[in-house]
Amino acid sequence: MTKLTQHSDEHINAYIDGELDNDERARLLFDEQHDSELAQRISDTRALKEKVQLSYADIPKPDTEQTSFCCTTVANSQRFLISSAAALAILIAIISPIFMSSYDINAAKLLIKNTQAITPDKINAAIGNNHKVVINLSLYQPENFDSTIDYIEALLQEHSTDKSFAVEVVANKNGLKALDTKTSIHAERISLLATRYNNLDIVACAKSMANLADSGNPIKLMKDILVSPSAAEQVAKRMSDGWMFIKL
Amino acid sequence: MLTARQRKLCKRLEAGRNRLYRMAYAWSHNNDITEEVVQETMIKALNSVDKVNNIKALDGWLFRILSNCFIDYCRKQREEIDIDDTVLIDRDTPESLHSQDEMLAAVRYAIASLPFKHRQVLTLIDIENFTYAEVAEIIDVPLGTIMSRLNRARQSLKQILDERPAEFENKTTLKIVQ
Repeated sequence: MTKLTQHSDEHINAYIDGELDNDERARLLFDEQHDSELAQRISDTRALKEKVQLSYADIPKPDTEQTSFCCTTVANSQRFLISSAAALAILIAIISPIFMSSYDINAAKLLIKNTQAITPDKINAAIGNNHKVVINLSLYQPENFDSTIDYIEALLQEHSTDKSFAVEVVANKNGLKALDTKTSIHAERISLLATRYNNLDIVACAKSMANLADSGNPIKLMKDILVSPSAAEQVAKRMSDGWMFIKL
Repeated sequence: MLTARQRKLCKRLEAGRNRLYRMAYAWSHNNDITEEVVQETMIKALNSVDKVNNIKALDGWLFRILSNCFIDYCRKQREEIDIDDTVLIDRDTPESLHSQDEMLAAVRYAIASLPFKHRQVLTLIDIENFTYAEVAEIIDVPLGTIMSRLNRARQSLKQILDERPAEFENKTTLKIVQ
């Protein structure tokens, strides 16, 4: 066979990558059939591409199992584990509106913004006879946080025999720092509390997480923390279900 | 209720996660880095998914976020290193010891030996089958640069594989060096 045309390596790459138009492809196909050296170069390049494709075909998979079914779990307020692979968050964010009822998110935003925060010692009195409480936590003051945990634990303990009683803590803004494994000095206590009481859920606001990450303060959540697209959405969902809202 | 478009986006994002993971792993060869970068990518995607006007462009958009997150991560870790000059070198790891295919392990080693900018283009095209134009958009460089980087990547890869000593096989895990 004779050598017909000089084809650059870039041209051969474009050929095997499907980047050439029909005329160019036809020309190269023709040359390939009549030029053994060219045919070998094309074959080598194609083989190399296939090796690269295969070399990552079975890479180690991420630890987190996630399917759209997880979102149903979240919607039903059942506990599920979330690892640091917060890809789950995006799935939750997209799907969760399916399960949301009519409580207006803007109303929840106003509620979060305008409700006056109470001190932890007032939690019990504020709750009264309510059995379902969503607590917004938007501040983390390490020096006072032990007492916050104490009061929440006392509340859960007091209602330990009441199966209808449930507390959900929705952390956003700086309140998320309480859940940060890297910096929170209370991470272990919170984790223990969440493990001990099945009727306590702790929810992180994904929007605030993103904001903190953008400002150079990324949060690495503890395990057992649920993630919601936004605090307002989560509060709206709970308010729709008749939960009581308080803010710490 | 979700719109039909949102459902489609959701499915695409769900399907995209493992692909992001594979790509981040091909760039870093490190599970921890991969998980962190993919997490960051998904959070950013979550917060701006409404800006995606064209579902067909979703893949490129996601991988562009991944690329930016990966580069940000590397810069944060090693401020003094120009990511474009960064190559990875091999180290023994349990993962490599489990490899059953010496050739593929060697290919990973060879890919890891490439400068990041070459490795990135090669993997986006060969693993994800992005077109040259799509890769140009993802990493924001001209089309000609993509072709040039791809060519250099393949030439280097071929050279490394041709010259590889036997002991390089089964060593694929990496450490960032300048």
